[in-house]
Amino acid sequence: MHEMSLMSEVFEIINQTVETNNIRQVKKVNLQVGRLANVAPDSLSFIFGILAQGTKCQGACLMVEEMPVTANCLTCDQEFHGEGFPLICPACGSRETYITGGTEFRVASLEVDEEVKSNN
Amino acid sequence: MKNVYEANQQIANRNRSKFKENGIFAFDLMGSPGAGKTSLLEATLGMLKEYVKPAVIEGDLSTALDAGRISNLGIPVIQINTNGECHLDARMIDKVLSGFNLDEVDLMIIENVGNLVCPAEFDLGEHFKVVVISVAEGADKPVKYLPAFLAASAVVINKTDLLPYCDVDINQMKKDILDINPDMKIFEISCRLKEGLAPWVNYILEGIKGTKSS
Repeated sequence: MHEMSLMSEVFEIINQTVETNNIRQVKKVNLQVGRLANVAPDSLSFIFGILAQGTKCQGACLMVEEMPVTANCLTCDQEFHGEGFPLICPACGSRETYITGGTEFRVASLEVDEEVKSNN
Repeated sequence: MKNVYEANQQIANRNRSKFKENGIFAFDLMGSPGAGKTSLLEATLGMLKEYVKPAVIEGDLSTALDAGRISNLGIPVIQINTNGECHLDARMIDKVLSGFNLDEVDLMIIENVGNLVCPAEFDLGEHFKVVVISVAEGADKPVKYLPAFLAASAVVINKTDLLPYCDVDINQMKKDILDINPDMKIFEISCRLKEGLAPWVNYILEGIKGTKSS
């Protein structure tokens, strides 16, 4: 259970973006979380709500897109979706594969209101 | 698009460079509480210290009990207490590396917090990760805790002396591990009886040799 420390990293990324882009309010945070990322989306939403209080993310919506397990076949170069283990290439039946997706955890994008520029 | 682990990754890369500069082979030992991580270290270090200069970083929520066990062997050790955090991260390793005389080390073993979930996600700068699992935990653990077995390069199945008393099919366990990760090196060990240690110790010595010659 390390969603708290991961969410703190997410806020580091958001805060940097907010600072460098004159953002007034974050409306939506889009995360991508792989099925094998060991991260529970429900916990993320819960912690996001707590950490967002008093920040420019307060009231923002957290969207978590679950990313499938994808793999590449080393024998025939076919890319495929992995459904359980062992990973077997659906095209040639090879077990010589490597995982290309499904372990990621990233901030995909933010939807924001920008600061209205003032002359002060 | 920003990787949430990027900050950790940068520090891990720095740790890795530091290990490389000093010709140190490093691995991260993960496993459930009670799997036998520290017992494995005690048994392994007893054999290894004849040939190499090891050092250990111990990770625990609290206490310095494990560091005490390693220190009793006359091996440099630093204890990290995470105070509740469920895993070690690269920053914690970076902080303690200056406490070692790295010129005098050629093997750094990092014993992670007892937990088969979270440590899998954090690169510490090690060369590879090792999972310790005991037969008493049940044969179904590899398929239940996939990320740890995906992240690791080797598995030590410990407490094989308990096999007659555990309703565990070790062959099924090994098959499941290889289904997840066909390249996995698997070692069957009883730390209590000091059985099966030689192939594992050789594996580490090969790793050290590889680091020295690269």
